[in-house]
Amino acid sequence: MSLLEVEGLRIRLPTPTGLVTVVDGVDYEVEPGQVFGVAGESGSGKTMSVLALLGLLPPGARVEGRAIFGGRDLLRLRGRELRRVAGRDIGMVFQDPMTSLHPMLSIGKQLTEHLRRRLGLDRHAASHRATDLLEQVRIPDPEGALHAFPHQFSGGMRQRIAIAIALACGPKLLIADEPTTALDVTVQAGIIRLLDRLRREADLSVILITHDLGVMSSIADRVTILYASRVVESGDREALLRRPRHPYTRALLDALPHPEAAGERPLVAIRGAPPSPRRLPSGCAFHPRCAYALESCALAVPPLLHVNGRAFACPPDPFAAR
Amino acid sequence: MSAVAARLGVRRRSRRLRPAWRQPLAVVGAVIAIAWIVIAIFAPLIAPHDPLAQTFAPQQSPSLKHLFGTDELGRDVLSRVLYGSRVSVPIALLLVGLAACVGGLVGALAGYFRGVVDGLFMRAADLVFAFPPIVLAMVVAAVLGRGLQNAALAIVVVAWPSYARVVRGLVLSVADAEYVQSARLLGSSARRALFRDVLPNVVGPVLVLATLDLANATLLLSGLSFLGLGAQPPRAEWGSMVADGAQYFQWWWIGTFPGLAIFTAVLAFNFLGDSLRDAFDPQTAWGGEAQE
Amino acid sequence: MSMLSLEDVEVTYERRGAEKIKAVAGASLSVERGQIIGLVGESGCGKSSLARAAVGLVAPSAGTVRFEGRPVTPMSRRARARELARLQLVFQNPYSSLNPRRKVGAQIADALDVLDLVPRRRRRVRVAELLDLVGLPASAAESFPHQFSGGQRQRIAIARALAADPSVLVLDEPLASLDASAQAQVANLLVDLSRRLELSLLLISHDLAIVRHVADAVWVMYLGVMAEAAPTRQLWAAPLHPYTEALIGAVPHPDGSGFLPEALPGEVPDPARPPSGCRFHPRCPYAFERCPVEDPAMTQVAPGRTVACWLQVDGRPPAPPSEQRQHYESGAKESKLA
Repeated sequence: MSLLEVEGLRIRLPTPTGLVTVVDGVDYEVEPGQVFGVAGESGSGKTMSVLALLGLLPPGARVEGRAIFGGRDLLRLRGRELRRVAGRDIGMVFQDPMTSLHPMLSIGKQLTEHLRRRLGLDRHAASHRATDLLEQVRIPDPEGALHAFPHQFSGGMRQRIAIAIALACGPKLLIADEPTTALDVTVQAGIIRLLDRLRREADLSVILITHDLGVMSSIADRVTILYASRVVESGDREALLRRPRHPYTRALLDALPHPEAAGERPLVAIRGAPPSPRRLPSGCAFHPRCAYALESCALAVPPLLHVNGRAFACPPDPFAAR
Repeated sequence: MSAVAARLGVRRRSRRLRPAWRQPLAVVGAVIAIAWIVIAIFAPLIAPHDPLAQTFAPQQSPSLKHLFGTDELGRDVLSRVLYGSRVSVPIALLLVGLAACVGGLVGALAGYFRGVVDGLFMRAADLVFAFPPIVLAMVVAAVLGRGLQNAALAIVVVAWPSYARVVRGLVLSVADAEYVQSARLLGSSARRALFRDVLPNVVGPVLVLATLDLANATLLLSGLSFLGLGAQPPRAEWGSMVADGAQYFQWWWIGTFPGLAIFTAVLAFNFLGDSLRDAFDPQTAWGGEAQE
Repeated sequence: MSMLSLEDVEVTYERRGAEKIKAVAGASLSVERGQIIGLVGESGCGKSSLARAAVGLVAPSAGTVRFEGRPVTPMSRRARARELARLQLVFQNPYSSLNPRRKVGAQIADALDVLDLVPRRRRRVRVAELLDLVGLPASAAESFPHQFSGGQRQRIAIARALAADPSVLVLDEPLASLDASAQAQVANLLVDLSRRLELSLLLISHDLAIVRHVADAVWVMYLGVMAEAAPTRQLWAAPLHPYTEALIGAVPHPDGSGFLPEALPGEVPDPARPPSGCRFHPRCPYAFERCPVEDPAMTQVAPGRTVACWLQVDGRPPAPPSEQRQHYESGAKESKLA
């Protein structure tokens, strides 16, 4: 039984010129204990698709579809109901550790507030659990840290604290939106390892949103690639990254510096830029930039084909000689 | 807020400046302001009667002969209102221009040289800010003596610090901006950078401030005249006319029409100022692209 | 003669009331003609400060900076010395490095105007040429910066610097604010420009992987000092400094293999209070007695390779830190037995 099943998610945002679709028919399933990666460039809709789960979309957003979590449809819940379900069983970590913690409250306060409100722990028990959490995320001197303030910590440490707060109530699902983008590479490695360890120790499911396929490749079990509000490919991490089926995935990988092939293979840039959701190209949104595009690509949005546990939105075998 | 939402909120690819008919308030403001300017210029030609001539039957309510009626001394109110614009409008423009120049210069020097110069100028500005504008203007005008010129001077004294502060802030922030550093790296002298890169970014906000200040200046001037410190009788000036009208409440037309004149002029300047502000920010005007 | 050389440069920042901070505490670096040098390091290592000192935006508190053999005078109120016009800098953030109120063409033409490089009537043509050089249409000159994407803006910034006909271009994290496709485009552009125009590039970046693709040689910086320098391929194949090794190990592999990048324990120390001796020693897995005591200097251990690490002392051929450490230990045992 999946932990989270998202079906037909469609999100439209109000803009001065009308409603614009930012997420268009996205489906995915997250299993317990799985790291589910959502990849895409800025503007692909990856962040919006999870903000919808937590009711964090901007006001006026129209949402269609279902998101079944623990037997309830998150998209139909409101206010207190949503906070109860989401606040307890889903934790979220945001991108910028500099702004995601309250600058005026001590770490201890920020942690224990959650614990006491959600789990009803008394002060002593909450403190104790807070210390445990900080230890779990490997903050040195957890007891001292309880009394410290965010500005006294580095970016990497703050991100760990944010993860601790997200995990405070023992959620089943952790959503991490670009958790390492703002961090140095060695610090990023630490957070990646932390997430990996937490996932295994706590049997935690993680939805990992990032544009960085390297980070994705390190811990994700399944990967979904979004382009301009639609899913273009999804599947097991290894299969998808080793043998991408969709030209966009392939192009993304080619544009990345690959540690093995440095110097031998130049970076292949994808010409053009991602389209604005306001003005999507007809048919397949990627076709103007696609090296393998056919005339038919501009005619209709390609359906998502499901083959062997993988899905991609492109006619079979796009890389065959054209 | 995700990149997508931010982009969608403001992004418009190379749109021209939104055509005037899409900005009703600005149009209204511009029309009214221009109308008053035209009236101010052509008042002698438009006004039906001599504003100072006390030749008519006094206190007559508005009629076809006297559209705005006559005041307590038998003068045609319409003519007086029209002539009143010759005082308020040009003086407001002049005052704001002066204040902007003086204040802008002070602010630019303070921001550019910093240190002692900055401290001195800004303390002077703070001194002025410490007082409510109308009170300070009253004091200065009273000290200098009654009369329109002195009232004008008083207003400049009250108005320059806002410009100083705005310009100083802008100069400070822009001077350190990377695009200024880039220009300097290319060999641009500090002075050239000041004129090419710093000042253009400063002119916009100053112009907006000035336009909005026109409204304040008009009000202040009228206020001072209302209190007897500005335009002296028998001069036709809106503020003093309202003062008169306050005395003769039963003859409502004496005070109401000048009051309406002040109201429309001030409102017009406010509308103009708002849309100028939008026009000057290339991002809102042309359709900005937010950061990714 | 190097095109750009920095010797024992120090850059100190003073804050009122607070201690002086040495963002750069003695770093040397040189860029030869037509070379692409990558300077990598993480936050707080001082690479941006070094870049600014290299072009004269900031005055070094010690050491010398030379461009084409002549000293680089720091910027003052007066216009920058004309000889320095051929040493240019591209900033990291393409959103703040272009004046939002001036047209793109006018900004690119700044150098042409100030340096009088091209007669007035030819300037439009030259601007079009420069835009073409960076892969943008000539019509871009009439637009404002905000009408372009991040990648395009960065290219405009590069075109602007190129207008001064530089022989050395320093780029401070030019790819950091860009997404993957734009990064690849700009990276390729830089290599192309360097080859075509025989332009020397000093590319500052925290992204090792991209630098690997672009640079001929790489310098690694940590907490204000240089740790290692080597031709790119050699640096990656056989890093000699433990920090370099850690950096390389921390880069994720986007190949689907599930490779977990290596984390480096500890935190970057406060630059105001650097560790004694070798600045890296508290976090170094191979540290031994000498490390907290003396600060190693950059020494040449092979042609084109310099390292600042006590594990790589003269006499022994350069080898990976783990091997050197073993040698050291067995050597230490031997001397104890002897």
